[in-house]
Amino acid sequence: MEHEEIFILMMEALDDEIEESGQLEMETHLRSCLSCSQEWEAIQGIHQLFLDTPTLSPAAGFAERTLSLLPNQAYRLWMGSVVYGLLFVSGLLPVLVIIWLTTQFGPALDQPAFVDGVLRAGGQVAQLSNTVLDAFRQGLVSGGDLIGQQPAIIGLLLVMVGAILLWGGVYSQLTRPRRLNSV
Amino acid sequence: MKYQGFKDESVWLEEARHGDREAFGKLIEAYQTPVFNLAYRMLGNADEAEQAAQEAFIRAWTRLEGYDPSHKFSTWLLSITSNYCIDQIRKRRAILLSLDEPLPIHPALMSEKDSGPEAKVAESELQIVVQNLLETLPAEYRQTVVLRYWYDMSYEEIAETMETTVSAIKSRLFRARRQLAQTGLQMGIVTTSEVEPVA
Repeated sequence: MEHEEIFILMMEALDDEIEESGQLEMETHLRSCLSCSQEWEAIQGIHQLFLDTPTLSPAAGFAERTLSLLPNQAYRLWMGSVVYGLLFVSGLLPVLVIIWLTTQFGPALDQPAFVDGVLRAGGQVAQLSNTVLDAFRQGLVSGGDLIGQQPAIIGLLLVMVGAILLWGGVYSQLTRPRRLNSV
Repeated sequence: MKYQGFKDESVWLEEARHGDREAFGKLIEAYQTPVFNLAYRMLGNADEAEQAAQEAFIRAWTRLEGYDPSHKFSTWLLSITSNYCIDQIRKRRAILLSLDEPLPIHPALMSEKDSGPEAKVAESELQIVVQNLLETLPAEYRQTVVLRYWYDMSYEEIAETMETTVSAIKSRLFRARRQLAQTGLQMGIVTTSEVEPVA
């Protein structure tokens, strides 16, 4: 029998899953193979060492200390509501402004000159977007030219990412429980 | 040691799910030892183990809504603990690598023996020997060995806790035991007889 097969039988023996025939095969092999019998002794020694090692308990007062660290769910819910409320208001505000502007300057919408102006402005915005997107694409394709050619766009993106991280950090700090030192 | 759950566990769980901190406190008291023991065996340091155990309970508290009662609470809680410990070990390794320092033989950074709770848990020679042995194992092997020996988990339960397959667990335990035996011999923790076997 190969040594590797004996090792598998050893594992089964440690887990009390070995069959009688396997046990016999293993014992026969171990009687004739010094390296396997030494390894079996070592494995059994470690196995017994672990079985004899007791479970460790934390220092006294662990439960109280941990309980004091649990986040206050009601506070988290309240903070979350405030943050989402602010986001909602900040999204709603421009819509309200547009509605107000529409009601204020609604009559002007019928004027042909206004319609022409809006169409012209729309065309210019589309042209500008196309130019920016084209620069973006060119920059990405040519590998890094975008950074040199459109620093403002890169800067804007970085500022946006920074703002998101900043507010994320503020939120997590506000809702994070303070860790107490163990006694 | 087999954690089959406590008599009032389901009641405490139900109350805790409704935000009852006192009920969750009961769960902490009931499971503080297995959670701390797992964290200590994985991290090898009492201060880090306490922080990891606290973090595991905080995560359990904030994720209680997602707990599936058809699974054992102990398995779920130990899974959170061991995943957190594995993350900590990876972070620790990343810090060591970023500092460009050679990895020590025992990667867990044992603190002073006489500092606070460390003195309480590491006072036994046996504990130190076992911990030194465990720390020679890769994190996943260590996790498997700890769950097998200190929690008396079946292969299926270990696989569920570690979110892997039974065959993977068997393989890890097989390799871990052989590696531990070799290390034990090298460190003089276990000895073998030199008697030539009968042919």
